[in-house]
Amino acid sequence: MQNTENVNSIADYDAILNVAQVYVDGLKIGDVEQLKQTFHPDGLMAGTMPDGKLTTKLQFLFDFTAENGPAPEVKSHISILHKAETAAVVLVELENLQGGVGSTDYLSMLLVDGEWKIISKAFNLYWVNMDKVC
Amino acid sequence: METKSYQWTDALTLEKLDKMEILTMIDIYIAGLRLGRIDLLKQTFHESAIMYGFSAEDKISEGSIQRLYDIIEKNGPLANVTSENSVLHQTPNTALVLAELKNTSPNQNSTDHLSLMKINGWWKIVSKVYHLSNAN
Repeated sequence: MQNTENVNSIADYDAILNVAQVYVDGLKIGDVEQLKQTFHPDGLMAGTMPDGKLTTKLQFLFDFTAENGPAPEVKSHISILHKAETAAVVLVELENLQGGVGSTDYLSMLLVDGEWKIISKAFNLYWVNMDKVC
Repeated sequence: METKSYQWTDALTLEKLDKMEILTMIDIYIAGLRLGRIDLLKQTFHESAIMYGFSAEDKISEGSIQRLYDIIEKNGPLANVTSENSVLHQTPNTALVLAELKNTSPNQNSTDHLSLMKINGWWKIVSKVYHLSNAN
């Protein structure tokens, strides 16, 4: 079979990585508006907080960021785990968030009207001393 | 030293067990589609789960997972669907699965990106983002 077109363009890979980077930078500077730009407005965030509370609401991310501010020391590593023509999944490893917390974030993205948007974020947190978190 | 190596073994075993449970959940999801069993689908998805993706006609489908149940209720079983599933990444509480479905409708395949969470000991899909393609 002859393949005439690669549906996974480098421009798309770059755009996906860029959205993930804007998301990380939003966390770093604590900018809720910047975070909102990267998500679909009806997106979802799912994960368990150190106090055991489960969240499935994206609004929780915006509220948490507004309350807790920037994470200036955060370090990140971004990888695209899989990509189809209009959908992609991105792994974002984060170290040194607020209180030294780490997180493994799964960002599921969709290409909507020419722009990659985060549809869902699922996170797993790592922490040593819970007192400093939330 | 011995204690440490036991802990390491336990962690590995837990990870393997989780992986089996995750892939079993995905099998139930596929079985739900193939048999048209909404009750099976409801076992695999969290009640707040969302589903997003484009149809072959480039129409976006968005919102609650209820939409999947409505489609199956309306169209019945996807009798010929098969799937190859891989866990792309997992942590103790979250997982990311790639499900490559064939024959979701005649000559159509679906690439599903499924995000899962372990809630009260059970793995549940919290988000499904898909891309449909023509099988040529």
